[in-house]
Amino acid sequence: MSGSDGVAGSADLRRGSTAAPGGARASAAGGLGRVIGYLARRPGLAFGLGIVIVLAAGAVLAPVLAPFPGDAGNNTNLMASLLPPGGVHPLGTDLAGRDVWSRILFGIRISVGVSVVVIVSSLLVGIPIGLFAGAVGGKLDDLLMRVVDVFLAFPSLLLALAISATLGPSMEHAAIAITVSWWPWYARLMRGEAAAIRGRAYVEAALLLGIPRWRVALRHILPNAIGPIIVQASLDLGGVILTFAALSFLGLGAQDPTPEWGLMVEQGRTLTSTQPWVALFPGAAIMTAALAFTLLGEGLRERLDPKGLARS
Amino acid sequence: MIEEAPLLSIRDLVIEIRGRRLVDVAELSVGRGQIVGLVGESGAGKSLLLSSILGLLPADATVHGSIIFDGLELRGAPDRLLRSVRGRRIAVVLQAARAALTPTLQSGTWIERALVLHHVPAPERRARIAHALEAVRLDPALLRRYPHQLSGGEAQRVAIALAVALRAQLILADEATSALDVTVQAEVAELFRELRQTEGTAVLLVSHDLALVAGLADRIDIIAEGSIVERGGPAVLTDPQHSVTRELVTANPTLGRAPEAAP
Repeated sequence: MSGSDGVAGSADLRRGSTAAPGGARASAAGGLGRVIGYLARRPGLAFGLGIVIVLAAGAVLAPVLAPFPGDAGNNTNLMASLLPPGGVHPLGTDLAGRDVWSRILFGIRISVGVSVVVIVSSLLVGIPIGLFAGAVGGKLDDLLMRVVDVFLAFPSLLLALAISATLGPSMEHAAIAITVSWWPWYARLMRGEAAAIRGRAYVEAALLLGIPRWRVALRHILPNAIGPIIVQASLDLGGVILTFAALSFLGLGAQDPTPEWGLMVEQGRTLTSTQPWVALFPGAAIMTAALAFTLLGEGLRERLDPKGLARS
Repeated sequence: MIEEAPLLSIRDLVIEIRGRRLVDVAELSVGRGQIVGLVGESGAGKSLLLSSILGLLPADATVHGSIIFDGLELRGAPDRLLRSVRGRRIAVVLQAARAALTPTLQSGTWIERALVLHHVPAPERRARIAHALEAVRLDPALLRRYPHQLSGGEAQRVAIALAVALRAQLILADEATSALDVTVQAEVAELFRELRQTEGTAVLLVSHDLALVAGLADRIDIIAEGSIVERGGPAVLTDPQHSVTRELVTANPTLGRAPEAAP
């Protein structure tokens, strides 16, 4: 906890200068200073945000930063097989002689990129269903939530495993499998938020103004319900990265030569006692990325405290 | 004919929810530019009555009788018709002033969107908003604020300003002043009086606060257990006939002075 000082800081940042007439805003420089001050009081959020920025930069700049861009693909160089870290291969090479550092860099696009796509797809399915159920209520709400309950009855990793095993091992199938096992969480969360907001005075007031129900749901319920869902999604990104890596590790996700981190760990699994770098560095990448998104999510949760949004 | 008919005329209105008869009003009317008080304890059926006027009762409620507004039958009317009446012709001002404004919208955006919804053309919107702000004495700078940056009285003025901008003929004020400070209560009450003068707006003032209603209303209806039990001018309060009215009067120690204080 950063104490009462930190809480006051967060309230300031959210509200702007409440007392100033016309809601005068701080200058751009002052705003940046406050953001830095805010982050300085939250080392976890600052660390998470920093890593996420580094990951994003790494994903974009991988072709420039990677010493052997070709090693992310179908290259094999048996002469350079299992070289220890050092020299031109800062993190060593794998069995096929591919540069581990280059593969980790390109792996950001796969491991983090696919996870982002999975989360966004889950949100795109879950939010409309949850919003509809929560805003309408009644029998349709009951029906939709029972469907959601069926999905939630299975542990999500198990469900994702079963689906990707049924569809056949590939990266696309793994992404579909995780999305199918993940969207119900957002549907249920959104439904709960929307149902709670449906009873608020401003929703009643909007209906009393003659605004059609669907528009009330989109413009008056959704924007006020979305905060906790965004927080949950950023927290979940770490979990999806782990799940995707797990599916690849088990051979159900990305296939060689795709530089997916979970698959890279699997490829180094039998070499851990002799050539530990082959599995160790991709494993560290998975852990770092998952941790970074979790810390970022925690920071967002504090910032977008759902109870703080509607406080009058 | 329609000119002489009251603006709002409710007859034989019965509202039942799951077999329980919660409202049973034989006759209730509001004339053009009239301020009518509907006073009763909480649970007397006031809010249900208001919701029924605009067709926003819970799904399990059944309604009988007739609700005629400006020649239109509102009971059982199609949603399209009801939506065109809601806000534009009959505005509602709720008790929870700030909570009735959407937290993610600036108050100006909230007003603007309602005008767009009711097809007020763009060039006219600015003039109407300016006029409405003047009518409720609201600083235009407040339009850039979010609800949590407004005081309760300011938020209530925003809601009333919207009613003025939409040129509502009738304002249904549901405990509109109950949550406000005493001085702000008086200001909002004064506002209703002024709007009647300048805009010809009729008001159905629903409240448990007899003193406020007595100072404002042309006529007062006392509602108990869903039915009107007593009706009359502010004098109703000095010589209450029905036991419920007597209870409401004695519950309010300042009331003896209220009718005289009214202009």
